[in-house]
Amino acid sequence: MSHLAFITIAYGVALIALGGLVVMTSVKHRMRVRQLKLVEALVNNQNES
Amino acid sequence: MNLYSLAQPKKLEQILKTTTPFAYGASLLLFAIGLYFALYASPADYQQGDSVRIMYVHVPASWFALMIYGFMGLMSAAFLVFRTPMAAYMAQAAAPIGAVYAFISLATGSIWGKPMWGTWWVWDARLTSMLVLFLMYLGYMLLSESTDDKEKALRLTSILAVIGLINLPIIKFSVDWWHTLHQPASVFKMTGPSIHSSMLTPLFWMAGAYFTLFLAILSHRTQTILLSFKTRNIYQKLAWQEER
Repeated sequence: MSHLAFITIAYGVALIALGGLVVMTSVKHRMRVRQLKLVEALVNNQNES
Repeated sequence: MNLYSLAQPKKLEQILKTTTPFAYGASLLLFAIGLYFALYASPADYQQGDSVRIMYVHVPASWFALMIYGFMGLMSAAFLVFRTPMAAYMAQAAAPIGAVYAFISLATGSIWGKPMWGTWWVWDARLTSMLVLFLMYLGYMLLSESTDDKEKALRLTSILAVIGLINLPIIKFSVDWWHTLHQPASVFKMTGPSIHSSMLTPLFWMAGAYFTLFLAILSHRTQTILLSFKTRNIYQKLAWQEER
């Protein structure tokens, strides 16, 4: 393999790992936001009834 | 603002909400500048050729894999001494970031090793101690998920993080204490850096990028933890109302 191939693989691995971490963090955060909204809506419904 | 106020979830949440987008933006900008220098504006090495460019993703990842574990150890010690759960939660938020940085360090080091050393891996002191650090990150994360008792999980992971601190000087000085295939320190040493400034420049830009990305993700993950507290509190209130 050439130098270029090794460089591409190394930067590709780093990009996928860091990008994956950011995406996972963002997805988990959105899930928690949605979960909190659902629970708050449940509480509001209970209070109204 | 004093340090104690930072341990208050509400105050902390306000600060994190404001700073997270700026940290992500700064990280993106620093990565763009760093990649420009790393892949284009810096010269090839006279011995390594263009493969030296792998160093610009490998070295900062290794630095911060160590520093993040140091941060986790300090936060965990703060939790064990001062009983501030927020410190332990921040350590938990930092763990996956450190694990990914350690993984990048091992993977890119291995990819650099093949053309330079002729092998993907050797069991020398630096590489092995770095692998141990990666395994400690994984062990820490597994341990934090291993029990539903949050208090117990915080205590156990904090003890593990503090004990694991012993590995940091071993990693740092492994290249001095033992004969290793890995080269000795060339940036942080008593006599000053032995790398040419044309190669130090991309290294420091990339280090800045890795650091701001760590701050951004740490801040993001801490907000997620605070959100789960809020949800849990509401659930507990609901359960309490139903009991009445």
